[in-house]
Amino acid sequence: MKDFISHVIAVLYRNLIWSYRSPFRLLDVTLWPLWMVFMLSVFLSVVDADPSYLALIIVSVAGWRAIFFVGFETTVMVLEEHWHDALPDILVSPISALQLALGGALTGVLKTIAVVIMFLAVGYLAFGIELADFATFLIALFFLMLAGFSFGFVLFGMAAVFDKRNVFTLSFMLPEVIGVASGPYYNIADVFPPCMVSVLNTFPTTHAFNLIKSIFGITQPDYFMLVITSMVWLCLAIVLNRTLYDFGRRMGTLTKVG
Amino acid sequence: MNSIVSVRNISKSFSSGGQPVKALDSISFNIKKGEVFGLLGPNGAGKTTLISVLCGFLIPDSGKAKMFGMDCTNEGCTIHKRMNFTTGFGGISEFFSCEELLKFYCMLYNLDNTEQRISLSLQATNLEKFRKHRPADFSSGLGRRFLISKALLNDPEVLLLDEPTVGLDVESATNLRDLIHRLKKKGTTILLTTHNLKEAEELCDRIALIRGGKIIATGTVNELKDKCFPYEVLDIRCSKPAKLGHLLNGRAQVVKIEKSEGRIKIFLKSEKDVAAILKLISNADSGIISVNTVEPELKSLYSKLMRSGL
Repeated sequence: MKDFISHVIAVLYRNLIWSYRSPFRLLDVTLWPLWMVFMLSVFLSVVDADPSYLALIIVSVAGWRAIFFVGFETTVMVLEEHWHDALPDILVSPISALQLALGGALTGVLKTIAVVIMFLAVGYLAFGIELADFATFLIALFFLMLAGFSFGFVLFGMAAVFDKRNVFTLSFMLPEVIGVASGPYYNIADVFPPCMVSVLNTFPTTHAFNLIKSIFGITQPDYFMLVITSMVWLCLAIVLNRTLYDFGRRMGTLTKVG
Repeated sequence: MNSIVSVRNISKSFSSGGQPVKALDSISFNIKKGEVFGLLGPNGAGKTTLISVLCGFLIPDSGKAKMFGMDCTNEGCTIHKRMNFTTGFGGISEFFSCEELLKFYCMLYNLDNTEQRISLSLQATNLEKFRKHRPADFSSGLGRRFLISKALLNDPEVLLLDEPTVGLDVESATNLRDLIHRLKKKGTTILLTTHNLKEAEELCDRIALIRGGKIIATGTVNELKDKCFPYEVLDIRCSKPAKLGHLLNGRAQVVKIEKSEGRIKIFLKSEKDVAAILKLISNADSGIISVNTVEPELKSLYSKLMRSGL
């Protein structure tokens, strides 16, 4: 257990230094999310939207960021180290793939916390918004991060097999697409055809966003489906990661020495 | 001495241009505790593939690689605590100082006395004064030295060095060889892949020559020389080589004679015959200037084996 904690903290230590010193990664938790939340909230305030809808936008975008941060961070360290030809040095240490992914996910959790605080502060200071049911929001946020980890863990496994540049693109794109398709601030039944809605209902992100929307009386939460879909996704992610990782080791695509 | 690394019938094929290519073909060898084992071969021979199998990055098609009696494929995390690895072609992550990166690795190995370990490993490669510098900005030689520091952090029982002196200047390469000597004295088991035959001869207790994914010879340098060059060779400089050749021709101890301008090479069956032949030629009037025994170099051994095998 001591080894496990030390390994996860090692990854967190590395990622925090990297995030702080890499201008691109620093913008991830500063300018980009602020730009995103202002783009949506300023538009709503200009068209005199209901303040509760403005609050929904702010917390939903925070949830959307949670999927992205945890999913992306779970995968990205392996890709960055690969591009610096340093991946073999990390993989030859006693850290396991799961510990590498968990360390990355923990970095994503810290980034999410930073951005949520920033969003809530912006909401309060710029628009006078206060969140009525913070506990429900935190539960939804937890499940969104768990879904992000599931995505990220599958992408981590894909990085062991496929071209790492493509996996990097996917790790940016997929969480964003899944986040926005899961109805962060709208009802999916109002936008998508029934067949698509059936598919989206198998996503834990859809049920987590429903939980957020339920704070504003827009949808009814379905805790049972939220937990079940989250568990199914997590189990699938573990199986897929293991299979892909070992396949990569068999094909010689996990990493190259020299 | 016990085997600390055991490789048994490892085979691995890859697909290249739609054709299967055998990178490793039933490779077997053992490395004993405290031994420096050299793996020599040309580019594409399979040295790095073998290192990848031992590190657990690559699952072989068949065969077993074991370290400390554990399976390299399935028990990597336990094995990795007690070993380390560095390659002459490795890279270094951006944004970190030497100290920060080594601290990160200390955490990965869950090591105590972090500060002391970092200092010792940097001292071992004369990088202590660069502690706060970013190794990603180093020259390739300094970078190599930093990666060797990293490989020493956990005081490994087994150290895999993949062409470690590539890119090092003469002084750094000499220092690294001294370091390998010190590690050997300490009892560290080392697997060294290199193209540098002098380095292999100087450092390795045993070597394996690998070509086309197959080990074509294993043994100490002297054992391999004896197998490849079974004759004792006398190199004689003299004014009348033809006369000396005539004298020695047909003698039971003499296998072959090579004559050239002012020089004659005599190939004897064994070392025991040297005294008798020396006595014989000393009485001959052939104007002898000097007599030397010829030690075959690893270079000629390597060339011979790479051409024909053992």
